[in-house]
Amino acid sequence: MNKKILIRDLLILFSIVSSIFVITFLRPAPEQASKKIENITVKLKWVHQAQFAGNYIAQKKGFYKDESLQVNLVPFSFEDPTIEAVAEGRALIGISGADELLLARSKGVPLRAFAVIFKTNPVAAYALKESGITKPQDFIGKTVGLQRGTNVDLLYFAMMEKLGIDREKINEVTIGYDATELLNGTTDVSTGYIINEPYEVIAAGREVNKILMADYGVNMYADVLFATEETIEKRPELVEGFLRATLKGWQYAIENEEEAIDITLTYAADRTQSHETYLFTTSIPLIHTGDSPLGWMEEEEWDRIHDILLEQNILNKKMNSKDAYTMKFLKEIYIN
Amino acid sequence: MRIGTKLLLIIGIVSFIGITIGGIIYYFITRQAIEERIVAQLESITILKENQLNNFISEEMDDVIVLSSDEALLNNLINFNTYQKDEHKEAIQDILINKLQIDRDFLEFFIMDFEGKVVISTDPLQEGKIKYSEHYFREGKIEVFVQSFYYDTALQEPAMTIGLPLRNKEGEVINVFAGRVNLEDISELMVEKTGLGETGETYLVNKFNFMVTESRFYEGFALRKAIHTDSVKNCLKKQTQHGIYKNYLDEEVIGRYRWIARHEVCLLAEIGKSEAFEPLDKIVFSIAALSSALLALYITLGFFAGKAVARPIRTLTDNASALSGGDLDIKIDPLLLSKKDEVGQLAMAFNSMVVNLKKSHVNLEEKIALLKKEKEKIGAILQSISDGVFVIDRKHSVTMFNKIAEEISGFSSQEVLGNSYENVLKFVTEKKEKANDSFLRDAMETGEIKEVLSHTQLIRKDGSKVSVGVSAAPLKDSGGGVVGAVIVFRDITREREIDRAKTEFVSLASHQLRTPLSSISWYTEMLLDDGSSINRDVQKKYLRKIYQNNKRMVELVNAFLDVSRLDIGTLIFDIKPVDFKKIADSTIDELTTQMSLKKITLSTHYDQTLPEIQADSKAIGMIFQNLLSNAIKYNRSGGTITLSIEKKEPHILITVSDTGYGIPRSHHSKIFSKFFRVDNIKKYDTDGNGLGLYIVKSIVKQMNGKIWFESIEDKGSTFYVQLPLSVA
Repeated sequence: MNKKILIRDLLILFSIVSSIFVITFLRPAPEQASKKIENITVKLKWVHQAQFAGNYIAQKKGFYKDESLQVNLVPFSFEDPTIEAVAEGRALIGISGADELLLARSKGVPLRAFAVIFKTNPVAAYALKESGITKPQDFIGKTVGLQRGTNVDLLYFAMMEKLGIDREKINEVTIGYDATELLNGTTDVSTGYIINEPYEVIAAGREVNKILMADYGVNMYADVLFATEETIEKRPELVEGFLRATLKGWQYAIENEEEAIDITLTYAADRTQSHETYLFTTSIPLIHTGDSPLGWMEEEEWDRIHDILLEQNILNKKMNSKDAYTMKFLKEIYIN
Repeated sequence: MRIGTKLLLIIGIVSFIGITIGGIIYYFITRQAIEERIVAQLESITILKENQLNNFISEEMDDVIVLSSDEALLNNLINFNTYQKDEHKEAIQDILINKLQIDRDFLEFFIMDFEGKVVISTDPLQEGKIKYSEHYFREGKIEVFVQSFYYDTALQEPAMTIGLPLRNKEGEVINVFAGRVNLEDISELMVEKTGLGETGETYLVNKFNFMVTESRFYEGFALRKAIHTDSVKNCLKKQTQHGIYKNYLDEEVIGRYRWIARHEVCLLAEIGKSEAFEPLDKIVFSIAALSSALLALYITLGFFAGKAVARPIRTLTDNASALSGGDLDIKIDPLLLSKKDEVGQLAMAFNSMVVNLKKSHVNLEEKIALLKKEKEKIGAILQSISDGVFVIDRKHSVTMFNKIAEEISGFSSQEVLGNSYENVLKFVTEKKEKANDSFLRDAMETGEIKEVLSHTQLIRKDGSKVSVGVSAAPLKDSGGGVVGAVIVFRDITREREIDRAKTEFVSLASHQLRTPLSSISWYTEMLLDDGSSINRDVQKKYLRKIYQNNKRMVELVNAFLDVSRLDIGTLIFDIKPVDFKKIADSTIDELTTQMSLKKITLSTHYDQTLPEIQADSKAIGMIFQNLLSNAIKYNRSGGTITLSIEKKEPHILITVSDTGYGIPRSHHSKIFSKFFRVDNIKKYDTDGNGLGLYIVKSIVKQMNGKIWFESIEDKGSTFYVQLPLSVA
């Protein structure tokens, strides 16, 4: 072989190798899409606690920021309830119960859910273990404490009706938003959130029996993410971004329990770690069962919620439950 | 670069590339083989585990189906549905609990009504709960359905529940039966690590991307950890593949995944890449060692190959350089010539080249010798030419400069050769001293021989000028092109002198001879015209006058001839031993008449020891004659003359003193000039021609002598002539 040709070939080989090297390693990083950061307010269903751990994670881990969102998480207040805050534009997105949403819609407030966090409603009845009360049928002849004016008593009424238990045989009293009445003996059974009040019993050194009302056929999606129909139609990218980041936050929380609790405590400074740990660990099975995607909603569930509310005369007329929610964003996130 | 080095380099590079490529190929083949082996292993594991999973679930299904068709159970259930009696319920519970105790694969059996309400359960706490929305209820109403891997809210743990309809003898569905499966076995099955090494594991992922079994490494992943790796995504697209990818722990693994459609789960089996390829590290080391050894071997071989190729070439190179050094007698190594390869051919060619070269070299040498001889001849001719000759090339630089040219110009050939002639040899016009070498350029431009017609001088090295006659002839090559010029020049100073002397002679002759000729003519006419009427005395007087003038003319002509001869150099000295006294005496004899006429007395003082001297007697005679006749001529009547000849080693001194008119001081410097006559004597004598002293001086000069004088006006003059004793 001619020496020049050899050298030329070597040069060609060398340039190919170096080109590959350059192309492989010096490829410019893909440009970051620089979108304008949107400031949005999210009104929570309750005060800051692990119930919203996914939101906190999304906030602290920058998942919202990745979606060009600056999210302001505002806790519930009786002065400005979540439904009103969203309906009147003080918050763009709200977290509340499906029942409240349907009720609002029945009053002509155009709100629409786009995902559910708590698929299983955490409303529960709880009793001291030594009472031997394990199921709603055991309530007969006992004093049951009810949190009036919330979806707790709503679910209780629905459950009792569903189970055909005669509430006349039960002494129903009004209690506060904690386990005080059960612990001081005022009630045999108290109602509340399975993720919250039973902890107080345990914290008081007592054993507790929990009766999840959803187990008795009266499940209602507890924490649904919603916005006005207008927001959903006109600012779908915002809603989708928020949902995507929130679900990511929840998945992260599920996989990283300790970190999720730590982050929650930065919001809920007045809570103890053990309280939040209890809250969080009991919440997870209600949020996620592994046999459907996070946030996913079922038509049957919405229908049942509608039916329960109708039965309870909360709704005074039938309505199309399909209008109350949209699967658009979930499908966008999971299927596409 | 030397050929050996080149060869070594090429072999080095080629073998390096070859070995590298070979090593890489071997590495990848081995890697491929390992990967394939691992994949095969993983494949067998997945197949095994899938079979076990299928078998397990099938077994559980069969168990539930068998149980659901238990006659006692169905009869009691029908009774219970009808009568709601505890005895029937208890009978059913007995059957179910019994089964639970036998078969540890189940955790709970329960029976639901059409509302999904649990009517009978092996766990009384579950009774009364409504399973309306559970899939095992909804699907189980129709046919057997396995709700695999979900987190049961009521039980607060991961679960798998098989639901199926309970039918009466007529085939009507009366209730829905469900069996909750103990997942421990499946977890054990998945966590079973046989064949998976330290880093391998198998796990199941459901269609919602959740890991459904526990991780081998971390607790709490079951139904919590969402996995979105590419492999899981692909698997969930119902693909069954294998490859190297990053797993859910972001670690590189060799993995195989398999979609199990029946249970809608993905079964993955993975083993850490680093563990899998651990043997490869050893192989890489072996490859590196082997490659280095091979490379060293190749380079060594290359080194010797290079030497083997280079040595004969170097031998030939040595021969060639010896050849170029002029050694034509080199012998090519016969070993090289006997080779049959390219080197042998090269040697053969080289050899024949040497032979041919030798032949032509001999011819060439002969020719060179011939040429040399010719050149020497030409050189000798040119050198011995009596004219100055120089040759210039096209650029005017001097290539030849002969001896005569050196003599004429005063430059040595070394000073001239190689220089442009204009810088050294300056030809100028005689009068204006302007450069006058256009003839040379003309000759070179026109290609014709050019001669300088005007008077030309050459400026010599010492700055003096010499008149030259010069001509230039162009030198032409075979094609007629001018390649230079030959310039021939000669010293024509003498010719020019002669020329001038001739001219001078003619003009002097015409001038000086006119007076006596006129006199002769006049007296002769007088005699011819009035010969008879003039008396004899007058006639005599006239004839004397004619005689005197004629005599004067003869003297004049003689003097002219002497001067001319002296000037031109044609006066040939006849050198013989000469006795000065004799010549002096004979001259005195000739002048006796004149002296007696002017009553002049002469005394002589001769040195008696005076030897005979080698000289020309005629010239010596002329010295005496002129000095003595001047002493007579310009003496007063009755004056005296003293002549002395003395030997004054190494000279001979002649002194002539007179007591005449003397020479005015103002004329002292001019008296040796031609035709010069001192003013004060013109009035006494017209018989002088102004040549006497000039002649004497010329002769004395030619004899390497000296002449000088002392003179006081109106008192007399003394002339001294000093001549060397040996005139040779």
